Amino acid sequence: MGRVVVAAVVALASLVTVPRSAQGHPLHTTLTELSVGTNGDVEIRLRAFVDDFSAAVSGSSETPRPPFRTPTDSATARYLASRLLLHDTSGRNASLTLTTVRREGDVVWVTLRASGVRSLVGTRLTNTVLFERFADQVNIVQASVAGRRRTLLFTPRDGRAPKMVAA
Amino acid sequence: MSELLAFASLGFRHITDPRGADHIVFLLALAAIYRFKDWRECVWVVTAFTVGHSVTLALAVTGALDLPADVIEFLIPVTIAVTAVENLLVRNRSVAVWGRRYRPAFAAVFGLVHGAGFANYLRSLFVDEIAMPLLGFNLGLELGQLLVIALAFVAFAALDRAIRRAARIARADASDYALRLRTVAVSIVVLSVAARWTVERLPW
Repeated sequence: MGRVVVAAVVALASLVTVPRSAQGHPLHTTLTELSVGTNGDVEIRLRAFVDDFSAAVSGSSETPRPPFRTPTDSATARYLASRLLLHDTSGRNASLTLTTVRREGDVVWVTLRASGVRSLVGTRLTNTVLFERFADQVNIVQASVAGRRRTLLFTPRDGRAPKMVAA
Repeated sequence: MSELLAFASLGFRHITDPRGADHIVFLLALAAIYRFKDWRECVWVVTAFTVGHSVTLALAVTGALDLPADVIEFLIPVTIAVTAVENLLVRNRSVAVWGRRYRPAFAAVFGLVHGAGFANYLRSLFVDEIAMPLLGFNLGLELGQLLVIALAFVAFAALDRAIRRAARIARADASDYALRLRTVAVSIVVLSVAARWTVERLPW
C-alpha cells in the first residue's frame, strides 16, 4: 500500500512539474546558401519555415497558427535589413537587394543579391534571423567557394559577431 | 567548419536540448533497467535506436516516405510510454521472448518513429546534397545520446547508492532491490510524463 502511494505521489509530481510538450521537439533552424550568381554578383538564398518566419517578419510574438501567409517582399526586406548582413573585404556592409520571396510547401525561400560583391573570399556574414524568437535557433550557412562548400553555424550565443565566409 | 562537423553539431544540440525533452526521456526509459556494469548492453540498445531513426530520417528527407507530422508527434510519447511499461512489467529479461536481445529490436523499431519526427523539421530545408548533412546529423545525435546515457548512469548510480543505504538494514540483496526500485521509480516518472504528452498530442 505504501509503495502504491509513493508511486502515485511521484507520478503526480512529474505530471505537474514537466512542461507542456504539445508541439513536440521542433528543430529551429534556417538554411542560407551563398554563391556567386550567373550575373557575377554574390547571391544569398535563405530557406526558413514559413510559420516562424512570417510571424517574425510581422513582429508577432505569439505562436503562429495556420493558415500561414507568405510575408510580403517589403516586410521581408525590412526584417532582414538588420539581421542578414554581408560585409565586404573592407568591412563595409554590402548593399543587399531582395529579388524574390517564394513559398514552397511549409518553407519560404528568400533570394537576395549583393550588388558589386563579386567574390565571397574575404567577406564576413552576420546572420541573426529568428534569434529574437528562439534561444535554440541555429542558422546554417553554406558557402560555395571555388567549387568547395564551407559551412558556418550561427547561434544566439554568438550574438551579432560576423563570421568569415571564406579566407 | 566542415559540413560533417556542422551537422554533427546540429544533431548533438538537438538531442541534448533540455527544452525538447521527449528524446531524452525516451533514452532515460531505455537506460533505466541497466547497472553500470551493463553499459555495453545499454550502448547497443541506444545504437539500435540510432539505426532505426537514421533509416526513417533518410527515407523521409529523400521523399521516399511521407508520414503525417501530427501522427508522428503523437506516436513519439507512445513509444516512451510503452518502454516504461515494459520496464515495469518485465522483471526477468533472460526468460523473456528472444532473451535479452529483443530490447535492441524494439529500440530500433521505436527509433523509426523518432526518426520520422526529426525528418519533419529537416526534409523541407534539404533538397539537394543531403548525404553529408544526414550523416553528420545522425553522428551528432548518437554522440548526444551517449552523453545523455552517461549522465543518466551517474545519476542512477547515486540513486542506487541512496536506496542501498536505506535498505541495507533489512535486506541482504540490497543491490537487486535498489536496481528494481530505481527502475520502477524512473519508469513511473517517465510513464506519467509520456502519458501527458500522448494526451496533449492526440491527432484527432
